[in-house]
Amino acid sequence: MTEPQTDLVELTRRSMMDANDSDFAAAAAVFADDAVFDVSDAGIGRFEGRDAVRGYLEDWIGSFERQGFTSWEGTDLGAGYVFVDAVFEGSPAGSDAHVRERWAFRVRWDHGRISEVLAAQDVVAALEAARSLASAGGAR
Amino acid sequence: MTCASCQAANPDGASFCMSCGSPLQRLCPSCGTEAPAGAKFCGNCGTALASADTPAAAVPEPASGAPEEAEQRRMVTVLFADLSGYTSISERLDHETVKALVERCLTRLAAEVERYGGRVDKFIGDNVMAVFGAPVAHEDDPVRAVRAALGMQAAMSALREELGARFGMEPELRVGVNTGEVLAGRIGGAYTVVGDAVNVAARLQAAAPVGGVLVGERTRRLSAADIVYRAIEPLTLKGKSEPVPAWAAVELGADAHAGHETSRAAPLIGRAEELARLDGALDRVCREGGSHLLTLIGQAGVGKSRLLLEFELGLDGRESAPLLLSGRCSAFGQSGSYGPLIEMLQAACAISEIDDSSTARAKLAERLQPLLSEREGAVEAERRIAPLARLFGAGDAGPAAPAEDQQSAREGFFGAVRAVVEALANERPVVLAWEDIHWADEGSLDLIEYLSRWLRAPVMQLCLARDDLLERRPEWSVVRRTVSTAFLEPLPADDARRLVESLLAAAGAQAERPAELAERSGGNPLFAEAMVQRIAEEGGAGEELPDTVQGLLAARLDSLEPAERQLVADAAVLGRTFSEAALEPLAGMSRADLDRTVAALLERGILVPGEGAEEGGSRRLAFKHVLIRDVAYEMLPRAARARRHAEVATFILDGPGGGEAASAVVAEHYARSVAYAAEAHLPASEQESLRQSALRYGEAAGDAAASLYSNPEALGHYGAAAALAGTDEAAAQRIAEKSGDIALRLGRVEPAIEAWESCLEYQGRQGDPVHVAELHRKIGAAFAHKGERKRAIEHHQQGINLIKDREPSLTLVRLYEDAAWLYVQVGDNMLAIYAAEKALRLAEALGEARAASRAHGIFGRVFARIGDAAKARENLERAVALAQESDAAETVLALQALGHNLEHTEGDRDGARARYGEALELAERIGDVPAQIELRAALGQLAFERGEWEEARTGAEASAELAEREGLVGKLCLANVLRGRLRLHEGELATACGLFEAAAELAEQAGWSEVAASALMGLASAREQAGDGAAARAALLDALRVCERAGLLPQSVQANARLAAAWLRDGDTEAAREAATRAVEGAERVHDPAAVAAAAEAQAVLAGPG
Repeated sequence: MTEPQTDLVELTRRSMMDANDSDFAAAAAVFADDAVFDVSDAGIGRFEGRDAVRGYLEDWIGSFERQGFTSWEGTDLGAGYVFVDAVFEGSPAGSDAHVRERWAFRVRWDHGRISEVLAAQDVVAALEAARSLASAGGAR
Repeated sequence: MTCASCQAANPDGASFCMSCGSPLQRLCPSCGTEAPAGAKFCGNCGTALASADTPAAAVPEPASGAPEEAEQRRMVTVLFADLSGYTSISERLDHETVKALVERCLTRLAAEVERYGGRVDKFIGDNVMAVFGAPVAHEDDPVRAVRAALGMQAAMSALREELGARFGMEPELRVGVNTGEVLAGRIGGAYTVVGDAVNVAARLQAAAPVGGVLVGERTRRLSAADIVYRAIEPLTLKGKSEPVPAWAAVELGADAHAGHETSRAAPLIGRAEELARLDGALDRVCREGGSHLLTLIGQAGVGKSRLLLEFELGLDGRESAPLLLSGRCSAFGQSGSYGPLIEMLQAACAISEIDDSSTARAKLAERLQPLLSEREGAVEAERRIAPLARLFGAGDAGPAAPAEDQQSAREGFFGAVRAVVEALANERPVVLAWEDIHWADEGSLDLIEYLSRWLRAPVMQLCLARDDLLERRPEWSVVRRTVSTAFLEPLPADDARRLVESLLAAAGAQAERPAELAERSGGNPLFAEAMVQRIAEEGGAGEELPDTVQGLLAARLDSLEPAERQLVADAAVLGRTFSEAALEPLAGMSRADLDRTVAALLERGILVPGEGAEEGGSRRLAFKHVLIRDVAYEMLPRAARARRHAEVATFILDGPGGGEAASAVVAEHYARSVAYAAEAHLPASEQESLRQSALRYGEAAGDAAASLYSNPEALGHYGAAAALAGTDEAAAQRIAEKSGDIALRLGRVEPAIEAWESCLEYQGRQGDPVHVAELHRKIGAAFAHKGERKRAIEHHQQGINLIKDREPSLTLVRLYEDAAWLYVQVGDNMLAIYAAEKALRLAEALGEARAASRAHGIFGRVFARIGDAAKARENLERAVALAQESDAAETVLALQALGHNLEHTEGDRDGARARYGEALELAERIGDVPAQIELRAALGQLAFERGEWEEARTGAEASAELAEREGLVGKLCLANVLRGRLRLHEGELATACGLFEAAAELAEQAGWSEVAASALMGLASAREQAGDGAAARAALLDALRVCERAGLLPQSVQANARLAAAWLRDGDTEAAREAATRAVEGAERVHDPAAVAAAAEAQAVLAGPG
């Protein structure tokens, strides 16, 4: 399946920034009705459906204060896949202590909507897997 | 001659009644002498004869009160005798004559059976089947049976001579004897026994040569002391797949009349007081010149003969060594009337066993005539000796006294004995040792009493007897000035243990628990010796009852009244101790009868009052000897056991104490019930009902044990219950899951995972996602514990996915909690925060204080990790507060976490110690053993850090002792790490290395990566101090592998920092830099003080030369 020539990286970044700004409605709007946000690799769960995805984003962002991406780098891998390498930082609610995590997101776009996000902590392995998938034309 | 059967007149000398064919003469059961019809006593030995002739073909019914009311499993010896060799006379003689002759032979054979206390079970044509041990057991039934068999052959030999001359009949006999367990009871309306032992006896008889007696292995073993055997080739018997060992009985052994040899294998232990009493009595006799009768009473095997032996050994050391004459009474009367006296006279006059009667009489006269003549004159001496000579055969001693003079004849006889004993005592003091007088003939007992009254010389009569004597002669224990009684009780526990140890050493055998063996022996030396012998010969732990002991106790039980016997059987199902209230419904007798029967059993020493009293004032009772209980129990048929156990279980459940605490006992009764029901092939529906109850209460018993942290017991109960689950898949799965829970507690991670994984598929089919999620949570936690982070996450993930979109549940809370804890461990702090936040919100939504406490605990650890000590403390204290509102076990955990934080994050060791102490106190109060093990070690570790070595040692040892006691082997690694550190501090490097290695191995087995890493780093330190840099680095690399596998970031920082220093010391700068870099990078992700300090050292490596 070929995705229309749009800037998927930018669309992806915008959605993630919307979530980061706690505008969860906007962040979720680009997700397909049956979209999946899969954080299984980290053990957090697989969220199916736009509402579930929104719920997850609310929970995640809501767990931190002064949170944000200190580094965000997106790559269009073709075949509707965007790969994001980002560092997320923040403080736990009510604390000044600082935490940061580097995350990889493989975002798949279908018909202008995000159909799947796969979050992983091993960025190198995730990128390799994403490239391989994209070069195979997105076959899963 | 008048026939006793039909009263028809018969010519003198006729052997059989011409009218009805009944034998006109009978044999004395004691000496075998023929007695005319109508005689009431034997003309030769005076033994009482039955009031009427018993036709040979009539199988004698057991006496009233014999224990055959119910079926019993019994150890018996079966004898088969086959008569042959009369076919030729059948052609010549009328068949009625032949029948009469055959009957005469069979009657003679039956007489031998009865003579030795056996029972003719049946006549099958010309074949006799006899049983020794049912319905009444004797302690020496195998000996009796073989004696009877040899007696039969001797009797046939005599009959062959007589009948050959008169009728040309030459009867021949083959005999087979075998011992084994049978079922005894009424079968087809008649009392008999069935079992393989019977078949083998019949086969042995068929294989026996004419005139021979073949016996099986067990019979030979149990009679080897009395009978001479010749080994023959094992026999291939019909119906037996393997050849059967067999022996040919040759003759009575040389010691057969002496009874069983008193063992000298072990030293006399205890009994000093009793021995002193015997010596004291003899001292008095010697001093005062009078006589004394001392009767020593005690149960079989308690050591009466051993005491006599010791007393005898001490006689030689006396100033004027007394003359000791001893005589033993036989259980089956082969010693006949005055048997013990005959033995004494033989000893006094040097008469040997092989002397014929005239020689014996001559020796008697030679020794006694001068003695008596000196005191009473030659004529009187001769008159005294005459009745004594008759004991060795009539000879020319003159005819026996007519009946009307019997009383005066007896007085004359007794007077003669008295005169002889006094004459002997005139030379030196005399000790007359009468052994086993509970079996003595009435005449001997009368004689002993007579002597005690009339002897006027320094004579001590020492009688050994069992309690039975007091039933025969209740007045025997009446104390007079010259009469006393001593009761020999079983050895106290310490003495019994010493005896067992001594016996084991002498036999070259080993028993794991001599004290238990001693307890099982009940302080009875004979039982202890038999048990040790069995261990020495056959191995095992002494649980199996030796046949000799079994025989003794079965005989004791058979001597009870029927109601008493029945009550003992009922009580045996209840166990060694029981309440009278529990016995009541089982016994099925009125309260008054029960009281009376219990009183009788207490009086007989079968039961004793048990310890303590139950609610409602019901008495506790106990079997005085556990082996009595075991034998009574073994005698119950399996079907009866199955039903009795089920009844007991029902009673317990219905009773006042039938709550959870009783579940283990109930489960045990049902489990036994099920096993016996299967063995007895009870109806399928009955078995199924029992199985269900056993399953239910087995599981309940496991639950109860688990709630008390009795983990090995819980696992045992679950294992037993699982075996009963059968096709009940739901139960099987439920129990498997619980077994997994306990296995993890015991540090057995792999079996735990295996158990839970086996449940996943089934629970998935049940459509209960929360349950499936819970299984995933457990498996994930176990993998996390094992250090397999990836697999742990996979399972947490699957669990969370299954239920995160459903109603909030405690399982989901725990999944997030566990995940959060995992993230904390590996330094994924954001994920830890997210998961802890989820857990806390869900817990609050559920109103679950316990879960909220845990979530705060996680938060506390996360904040500690990310450097917010205040928030860490705040959350951990909140966790404690919430736990205190909800659950003691949770409070222990929360306090432990708070203490850990104080120790490692804040460096507040005093605060940590206070919290650990508080947690320990609580853990002890609620019986949380795993927590106690950890806290003891933690407190020991704190003491170590403070340089309080003794306290550190105490902590380590207390932790280790608890872990070992409870079988929590995995947790032993904590104590071993601390022990290793202590040894390291003391400079015992080799010991320290060994302890660290053991700790690392245990921790790895238990999946306790954190402790494994710690142990390996300790090992590296010990090796460094020993100067082995390469080995130290190897240990650090192992530690690092564990840390990386399990994601133990702070520990990996430390390991890398130490590796860097190690490489630097060894001159490998590059490797040192790499390790140092890893340490510094790792430290950026954690705020662990120790890790930060280690990273600082690593920085120094990086900043160094190169």
